[in-house]
Amino acid sequence: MNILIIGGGISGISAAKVALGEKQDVTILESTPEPGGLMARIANCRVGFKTFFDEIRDNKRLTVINDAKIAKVDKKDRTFAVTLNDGQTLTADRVIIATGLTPYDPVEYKGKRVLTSLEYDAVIDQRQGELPADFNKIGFFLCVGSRSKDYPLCSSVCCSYTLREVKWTLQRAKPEVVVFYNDLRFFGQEFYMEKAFRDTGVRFVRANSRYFEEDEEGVTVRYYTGGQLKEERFNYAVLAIGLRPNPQLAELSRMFGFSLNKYGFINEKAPLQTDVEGVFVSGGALEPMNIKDSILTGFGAGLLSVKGPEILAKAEVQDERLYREDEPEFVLSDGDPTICLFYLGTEDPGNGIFYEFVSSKFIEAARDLKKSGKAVYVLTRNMVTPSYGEITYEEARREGVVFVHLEEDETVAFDGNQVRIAREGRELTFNVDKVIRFDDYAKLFKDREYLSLYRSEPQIRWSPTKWGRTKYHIGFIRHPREKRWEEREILGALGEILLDKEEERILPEVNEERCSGCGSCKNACPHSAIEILIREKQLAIFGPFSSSAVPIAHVKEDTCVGCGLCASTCPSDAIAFAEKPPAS
Amino acid sequence: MEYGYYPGCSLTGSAKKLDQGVRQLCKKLGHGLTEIPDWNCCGALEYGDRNELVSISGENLEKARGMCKEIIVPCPACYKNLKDADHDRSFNILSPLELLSVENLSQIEQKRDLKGQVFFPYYGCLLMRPEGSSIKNKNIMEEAISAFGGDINGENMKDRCCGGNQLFLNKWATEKLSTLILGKSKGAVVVFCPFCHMAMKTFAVGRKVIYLTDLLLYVMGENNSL
Amino acid sequence: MNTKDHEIVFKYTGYRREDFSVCLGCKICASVCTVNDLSLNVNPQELLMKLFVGEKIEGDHPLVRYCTSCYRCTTACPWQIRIPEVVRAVKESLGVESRFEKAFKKSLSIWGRVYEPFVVAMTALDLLKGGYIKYMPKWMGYAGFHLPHKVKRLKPMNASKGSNPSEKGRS
Repeated sequence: MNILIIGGGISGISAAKVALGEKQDVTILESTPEPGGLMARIANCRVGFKTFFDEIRDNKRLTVINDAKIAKVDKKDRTFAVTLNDGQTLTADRVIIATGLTPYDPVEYKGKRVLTSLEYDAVIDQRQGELPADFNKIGFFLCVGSRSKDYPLCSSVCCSYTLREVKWTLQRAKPEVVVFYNDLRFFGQEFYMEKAFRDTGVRFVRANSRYFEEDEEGVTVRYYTGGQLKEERFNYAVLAIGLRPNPQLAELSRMFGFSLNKYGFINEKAPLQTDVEGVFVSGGALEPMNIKDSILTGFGAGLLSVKGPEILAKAEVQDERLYREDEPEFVLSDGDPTICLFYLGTEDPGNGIFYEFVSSKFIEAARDLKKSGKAVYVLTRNMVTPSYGEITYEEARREGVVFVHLEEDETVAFDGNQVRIAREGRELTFNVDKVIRFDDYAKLFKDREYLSLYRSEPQIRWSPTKWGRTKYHIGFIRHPREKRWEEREILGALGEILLDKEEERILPEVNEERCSGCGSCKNACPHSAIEILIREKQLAIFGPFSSSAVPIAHVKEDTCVGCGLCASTCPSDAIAFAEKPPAS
Repeated sequence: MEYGYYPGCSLTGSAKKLDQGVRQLCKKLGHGLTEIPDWNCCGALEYGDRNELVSISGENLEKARGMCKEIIVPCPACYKNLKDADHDRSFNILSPLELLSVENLSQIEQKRDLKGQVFFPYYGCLLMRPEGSSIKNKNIMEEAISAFGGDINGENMKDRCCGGNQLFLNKWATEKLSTLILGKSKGAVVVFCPFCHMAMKTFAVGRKVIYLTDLLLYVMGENNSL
Repeated sequence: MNTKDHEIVFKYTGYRREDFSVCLGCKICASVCTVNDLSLNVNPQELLMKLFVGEKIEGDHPLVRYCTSCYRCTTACPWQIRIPEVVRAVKESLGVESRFEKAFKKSLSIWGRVYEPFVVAMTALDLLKGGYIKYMPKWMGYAGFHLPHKVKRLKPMNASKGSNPSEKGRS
């Protein structure tokens, strides 16, 4: 079967991997001089992309056509005849659209010292040499070119990306850093990163600005916080630009016949499928998403292109390696309150991962209450509604749910039916019948601390769903988020399982003579793959036989993923890989 | 080309100079202007009731209907109001600035140049904002001045607000805003808005404040001084 | 003002309540507001919030008094909310227009156009008291006599709007 993938970014390459693994012929059309896409524009991700791509680069079944532009598409029976601008014709049985995202260009604000996040990326790129001499104070401004009238979606990744840029900045120098935000849309462990940066002095200000007055030495920025207009000088202002659908999608939609929604993304008829048979979709052509999810949807679309949409219904869905848990049920209230107040805020970064989930639950509940004629207030410290979630948030605002943004220094006190917001010089009191708080909700997640280990970067060999050796997390348990992701995750996980088949796993071995049973490996293992067993051990070689029960580490073969964390923590070198590289 | 023409109240009084300049310039560029008969005030910035404002401005469009599709509106406030009133975009409402382009400027018979002179092209607010009722080429004044050899400055200040509509309400506010703009620019102030002209003229010390039309007519040799 | 009065603002601006409430609360409007060049420390987002929750707005609120209709906020606003029009609606509903603004509207109701000599005559006392005399030399270029033109076809305008604003917005 010929599979045509349009777009050589991380998602297209992921799809290609699955299809190649299933011994299909794959052609990737890349519109620029080389594969890489948006991911390769980020200095610190470029190498990662290369390693990922190198695994299939020389595969004989793979053809990559760079600088490709499609001139014409003819559909005959079930195949697509695709003619390129240079006259070349390809036939494809299945097509995957992986055109990715296009960064917004804020021409109205850009300057020599007002940079987009991608321009700034090059400034702090180690490979580009020294930092500028005046690198003393940097301001980051979120939500530029998204969450707006002409593009109402949230771009999902700019907050995370900004956090990484702060990290890379601080790795190279120690400038003063200020992040101006509307909401901090982080995921999983990023909330711990945020906490760590706060502790080292990075300032977060919950007010945004578009006042950038640039001169030779720097940028003057105005912003309004704490009831005061402030003016501050920065050496550089970094705009976290939004990501929009690839404009070429419009033309592709015409040629292939699939439809787009009003925001310019592909209409997903069924998970990872367009409304044209045989044309699948992955990555940023679906909605704004991060690298991990681009790989996930790439794996899923790759799988679909080989096995067809039937796979979702087939027995493989019941694959026992797919692991999910039921999500806790949110029971809103008893009684019949007329004024309700939601408090969307938590002090515990470990609860941060639930922001996305709780935000959408609160919005849903708030809208229902509003529709039944109640007055509804939502006090927010943070509102995490990425991608299409932002549309729901917008609707809730239009319907009259009142969202009150709490600034960093504002405190909230709950006293019976009174909720008081206070900061210097201002106090606002709400008299309400019912208060629903984030932390009450987060209690439902007790005993699920492992959720806080979720990271938005791909971990363990680029794995978007793999958790343990035979456990592939899907749905709520992978990352608490909107429902539409669950079926995509099933497909992605199944794709990942197919890829895993071929991999040879190297397990660590325990040298029972050396092992003291201290348990440090057990503690280090993120997958609970090590247990401490009690063994009978002969104590003396000579003399009367005597034996004693001693603890010894044991690797659970089915759970171990071979990451090697145990080997690196063992104090007595008792646990190691059998095939050790000669150098170490 | 033939255009409908809506001068607006200011251009019959305090901004007579702009009116004369536009008419003369259009003639030079080969455009005919026909004034919309019996036009009324656009409502300026004085109405809180948008429906009322739109009906006042829209009345002018009714008067122009059947007469012309393209209407030249020099005053930025009228320009914005008429554009807002034209919901269904059945007219093409143009600022005289939109008749200018690098191409037709280069065809102008040039009698003088602006070499060695410094200018501050100042657009103010309503030609630049809000989106949807603003001019397309937001650099046309710079392009025109450079085309004839003039030096440009004050780029950062070109769309800041002079506070012109506060002049008779809170004149200290206008003074502060205009002075701020003047302080961060040099040379003759080139404007296109009657409010900006008045505010700049009132608070500029030792600097010329001129309409772009007069500057272009000077280059063409129609005016003898600036 | 109570919530009912706020409905007048919604009606005036042609905005629906939901068009206001789409405000993200980002305070970008405050960062670019021209009134802040006057060191008056205003935050237009707060005004929208007041309208939305039905809080009282004072007639001498600096934004109501000093908004220059520059539309910088609108351009920078992610949702392009036309705050100057909101402010004008608030101003009109509160009946806090100045004599100048009233004279302007009066002229419109008489002639259908602004007849500048009339406005000057109506506000002469203010101009004298306000110290505008010293600008007269600079303003010579603006003077020039012309007779008022009476517009024949005119939409019936509510002349009471300018002169007797207290009838509304006060219920």
